[in-house]
Amino acid sequence: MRLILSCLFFSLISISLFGQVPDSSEEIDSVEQKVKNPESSKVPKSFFIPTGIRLGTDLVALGVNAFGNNRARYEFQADIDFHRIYLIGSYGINTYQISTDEFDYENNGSYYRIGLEADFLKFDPDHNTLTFGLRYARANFSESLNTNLTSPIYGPYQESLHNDAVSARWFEMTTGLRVMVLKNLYMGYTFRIQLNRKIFDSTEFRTYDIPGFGRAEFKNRWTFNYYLTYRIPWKEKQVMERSR
Amino acid sequence: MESIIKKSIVLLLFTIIFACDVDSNCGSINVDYVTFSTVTLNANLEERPKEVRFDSIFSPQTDSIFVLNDTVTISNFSLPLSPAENQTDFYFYYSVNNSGDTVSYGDTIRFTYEKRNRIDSPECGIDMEFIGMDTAFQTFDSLVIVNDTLKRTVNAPNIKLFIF
Repeated sequence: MRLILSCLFFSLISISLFGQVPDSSEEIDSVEQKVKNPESSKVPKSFFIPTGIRLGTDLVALGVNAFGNNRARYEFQADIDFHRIYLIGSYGINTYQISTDEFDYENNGSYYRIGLEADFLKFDPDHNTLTFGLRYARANFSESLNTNLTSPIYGPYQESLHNDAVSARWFEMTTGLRVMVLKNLYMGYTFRIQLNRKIFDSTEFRTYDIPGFGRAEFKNRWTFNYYLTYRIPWKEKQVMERSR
Repeated sequence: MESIIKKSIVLLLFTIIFACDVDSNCGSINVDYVTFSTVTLNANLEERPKEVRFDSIFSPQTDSIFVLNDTVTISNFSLPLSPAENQTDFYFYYSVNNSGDTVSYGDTIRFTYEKRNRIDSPECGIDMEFIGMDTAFQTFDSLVIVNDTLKRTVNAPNIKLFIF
C-alpha cells in the first residue's frame, strides 16, 4: 500500500515538474525565450563568489512537534551559493518515545546532513531555486528499551536495555524548490530519498528509530521537509544574460 | 538542460521504488524453540531415525512439563527456550527399544544463547531473536548442532541426538 501511494504521489510531482519544463522545440520556436548556446558561454569566475547565506528551519518538524505526541524534532538548515551550486548543511535534534503495555522505548540524539545541490533555474536573480542534490547524513544518539513481557511457559520477565552511543549514516538524493515569498524570505520543499542506511554500535537491542531518518528497519526510504528560510545577502547575484 | 532535469527525475523515480520497503505485518521469522531429531547409526554407519518414547521432558526453570508419560514413540520434537535468561536446561527421561529390550535413559542438556530484542511496531510488540545457540554441557552419547539459527525458515532440525 505504501509503495502504491508513494509511487502515485511522486508520479504527480514529476508530472508537475515536467509540466514546468518548456519543451525544447517550443523554446527554439519562441521569439521571446530563445537562448543562444548558453552552455557554451563561459561563466566569469566572479560568479562563483558566494552572494549570501540562507538560514531556515523545517516546518514539518514543527508541525509534528505541535500535533504529535511521540516525537520532538527541530531542524535548522543553511545553504550558501557558488553560482549555481549550493553547499548545503542541516543540523537537527530529535527525541522520540513510545510506551505500550509491553515496552517503553526512548531515543535521544542529533543528526546532520551535508551536501551539494545544483540549481537548474539559470536566469533567476532572486535565488528562487529548483535543485537536485546529494547528501551525506549521520546521526548520533542513545536509546533505551524497557520490556515487560510474559512467556506462556516461563512466566513474566522484565529487561532494561540501553544502546548508549549509537551512530548511523546514510546517503540522500534530493530535489527541492525554494521560492521567494517576501524580500529575502523563502519557502519550499525538499524531497529526500534516503539510501544505504548503516547502524553502528547498537549493542544491546536492535535500533528502532534513527534521528533524521526514522524507522531503522528500513535500509532505504523517502521523506519530505518543508522549509522556511531567510537569506542574508552580502552581494548582488550575477546571472547569465538571456539572448533575445 | 531539460534533458538533465528529465534524466534526474527518471533516476529519482527509479530510486523511489528501491526506497519503498514493505510495511511490517507482525510476521516474524524468529522462533523461540529448538527442534530435535533423534538418530542412530546402522551397521554401515549411516544415520537412521531412532524412535524414542519419552517418559518426561522438563526444565527446572518452569513448572511446565513438556512431555509426561507419553506412550507414542517419536523421532522429531521441539522444546521452547527461556526468553527470561541466557540459558535453558532440559532433563530428558526416555526409553528405546533395542532388539526387543527396552532400555531407559536419563540425560541433560544446557543450552546457552544470546537474545536480541527488536521492536516490531507498537502494535506488534517485541520480536526476540535467539542467536549463537550452543550447549554448555550435555550427557547424551553424542549430539550435533546442525544449525544454531532459530528461524521459521530453517527446515533442518537444530539438534541431532545420537542414541544407541
